[in-house]
Amino acid sequence: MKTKRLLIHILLVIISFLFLIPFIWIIITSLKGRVEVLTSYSFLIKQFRFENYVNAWEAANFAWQFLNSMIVAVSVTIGQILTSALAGYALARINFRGRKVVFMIVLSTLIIPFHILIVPLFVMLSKFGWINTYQGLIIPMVANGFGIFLFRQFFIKVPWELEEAAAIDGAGRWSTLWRVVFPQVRPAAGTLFVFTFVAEWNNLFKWLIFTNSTDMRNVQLGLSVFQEQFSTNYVQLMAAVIIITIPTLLLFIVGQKKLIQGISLGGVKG
Amino acid sequence: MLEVKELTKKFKQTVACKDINFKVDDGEFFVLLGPSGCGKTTVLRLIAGLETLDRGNIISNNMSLNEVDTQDRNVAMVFQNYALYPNMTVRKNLEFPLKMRKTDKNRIPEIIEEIAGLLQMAEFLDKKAVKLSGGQQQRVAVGRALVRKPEIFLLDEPLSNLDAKLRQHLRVELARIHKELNITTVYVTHDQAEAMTLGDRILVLKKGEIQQVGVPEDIYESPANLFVAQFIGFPEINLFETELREGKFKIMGTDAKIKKYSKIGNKKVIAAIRPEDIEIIDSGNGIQAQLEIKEVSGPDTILYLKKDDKQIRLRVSKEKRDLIPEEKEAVELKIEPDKVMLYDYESKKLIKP
Ligand SMILES: Nc1ncnc2c1ncn2[C@@H]1O[C@H](COP(=O)(O)OP(=O)(O)OP(=O)(O)O)[C@@H](O)[C@H]1O
Ligand SMILES: [Mg+2]
Repeated sequence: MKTKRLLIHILLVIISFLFLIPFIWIIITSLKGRVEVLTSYSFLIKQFRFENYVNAWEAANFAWQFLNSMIVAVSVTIGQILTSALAGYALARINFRGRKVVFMIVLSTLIIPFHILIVPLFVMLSKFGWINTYQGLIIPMVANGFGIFLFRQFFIKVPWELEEAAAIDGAGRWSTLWRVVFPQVRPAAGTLFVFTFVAEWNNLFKWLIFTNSTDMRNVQLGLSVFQEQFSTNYVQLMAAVIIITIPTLLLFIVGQKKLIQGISLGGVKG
Repeated sequence: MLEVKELTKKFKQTVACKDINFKVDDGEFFVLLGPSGCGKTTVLRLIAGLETLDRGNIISNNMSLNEVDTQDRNVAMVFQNYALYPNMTVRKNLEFPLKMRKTDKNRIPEIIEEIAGLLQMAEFLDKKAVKLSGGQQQRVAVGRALVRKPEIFLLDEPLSNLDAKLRQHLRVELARIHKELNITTVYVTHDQAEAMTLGDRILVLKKGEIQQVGVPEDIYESPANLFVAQFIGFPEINLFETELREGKFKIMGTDAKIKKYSKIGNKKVIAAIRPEDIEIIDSGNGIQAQLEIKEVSGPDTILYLKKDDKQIRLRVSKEKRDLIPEEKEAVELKIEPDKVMLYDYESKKLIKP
C-alpha cells in the first residue's frame, strides 16, 4: 500500500517535471544575456541579468497593455458569470415554454468554434463602429454556452426545499436567489472565473481582428514588439512572458481548490 | 383558526388528496397520520402555498389564503430534511425569517437569544448549519420556523430521520415547546406512537382520503373503519370473520353476545379485538390456542398464537406474565365481549349500535 503510493508520487513528480521544463526554460532564458541565449543551450546561467525584466517592461507599453487586458478580461469574466448564473437558473428551475429547445440551442453553441463567428462578428462590430473599442472586445463575449451549462448543472443539484424554505421565511424571488440559491453554486462561479479569465487574458486572435490601433493592444499583442525586423529579442520576450503569466498563475494558485471542486461537480454527469 | 375545505390536488393521474375537510382550533396540535404516499405532505404543502390547489379552500382567521403567496402567508414549516441554509451559521439561519419580515434590527439579537434558550441551541449558534448533528439540525429547523411566531406551524415528519432515543427526546421537547408557545400546529407523521402522544386530535389519511378525525382515545378505542383499526396499535388488531345474529356471534370457536348489538339485523361482520383485550387464563375452560412466539416489549410481552391456522396477537401486561407458557405450548384465552368491535363485512365500517 505504502510503496504503491510512493510509486505513484514518483511518477507524478516526473510527469509534472516534464510539464515544467518549458516553463523552467523560459525562466532561464529570461535571465541570460542576449548573446548567451543564442550560443549556449545550457541550463546554467553565466550571469543573472534581472535587468531584462525592467527593460522588457519599458520596451513595450506594458502598463497600458496590462490595463487593456485587465479591463476586458475582468469585464468579460464578470459579465459571463452574471449571464450564466441567471440563464442557468432559468434553465434549471423555471418551467417556461420551450425550455428544452433553448437548452439544446445553448448546448449546440458549444460545438461552434469561435473562428467561424469572427467574420460576421467583425462586420457587425464595424457597423456599430465598435472596432478599437472596449465594448467591441467585451460585449460579444459576455454570454457563453459553457458558462450557462455549468451553472445549470449546479442549480439542478440545489434542493428545491431551500427555495421553498426561503419563500416560507418570507423571502421574495430576488432575496431567495441572492441569499439562498447563489451561495450554493459558488464553485461554479469560481470555476468559470478562472476559465474565462485565463482564456481572455491569453486571447490574441480577437485582439488581432477587432483592433488595429497601438493604443488598443493587450499584453499578448504587446509581445510582438520583441520581434524586431531581423531578429527576436528572446531574453526580453521571455521576461515579458513571465510578467504577463503572473496574473493567471496567481489566479490558479488562489482558485485551485474551488476549480477542482467545480470541474468534478459540474461535470457532464449531472 | 385554520380551516381546510374540500382540499383536492392531483398530480397528473395520481390523486394526492381528495375532498379533505378539517378545522384546527387556535393553539391546537393537529396530527395528520397515514402510511407513506397517502398525501400528508401534499396537504401540508397546500396549506403553505407551495403547491397550487385544484379545488378547495384554505381559511385562516376567516380569511381565504387561496390567493396569498407563500411568503405572505403567516405560516412556518419544518421540512422532513430540515432544509437549513447550508451556507449560513445557525444564527444566520434563525435571523433570516426575521430579516425577511423586516423585524426591527435592534430586537433581533434578543429574539434569537430567546429562541436559542427555548431550544437549547446556545452552544452551537455560531456553527455552520451543515456541521451539526441530525438532532441539532432538527432543533434549528424548528427554531427557524418558530422564531417569528407564525400563526400556523407546519411540521413534516420532523423526527423521522433521527434515531429512536433522540426521537423520543425531541418528541417530548416538541410537546413542551407547543405548550409554551401555543401555536396552532399541523404535524405530519406516519408513526402512530408519535401521533398518539403529541396530537390533541388526529386525522387519519389513506390514499388521499380522510378515514377518521378524532382525539387519540377515540381513534384507538373506536376506529371508524378496518383501515384505521389495523393501522393504529401494536401489535395489529385481531380480526375474525363471523356472522351476527340477534346480538350473538362466534369468535375463535366460542359464542359471544353483545347486548348493544342485539337490535342490529343479521349480517356478515368482522369482529375486531385489540391484543390487550384478550386475556390469558388458567381456569381450564377457556379458548385453547398454541403459543408460537413471544417478544418482550418493555413491561409488556407480545404473544403470537395460533388457533385454527389463524394468527392471534396478544399483549400481556407484567402482572399476568407468570401465566405465559413456553413457546409451542398450549395457552388458554378469554375474551371480554364488550371489548369486541364489529365492522360491516361489505363497507368495512364500524357498526354503531
Ligand atoms: N410533485 C409531484 N409530482 C407527482 N406526483 C407527486 C408529487 N408530489 C406527490 N406526488 C404523489 O402524490 C402522492 C402523495 O404524496 P405525498 O408526498 O403527499 O405523500 P406522503 O403521505 O407525504 O408520503 P410520505 O410519508 O412517503 O412522505 C404520492 O402518490 C406521490 O407520488
Ligand atoms: Mg411526505
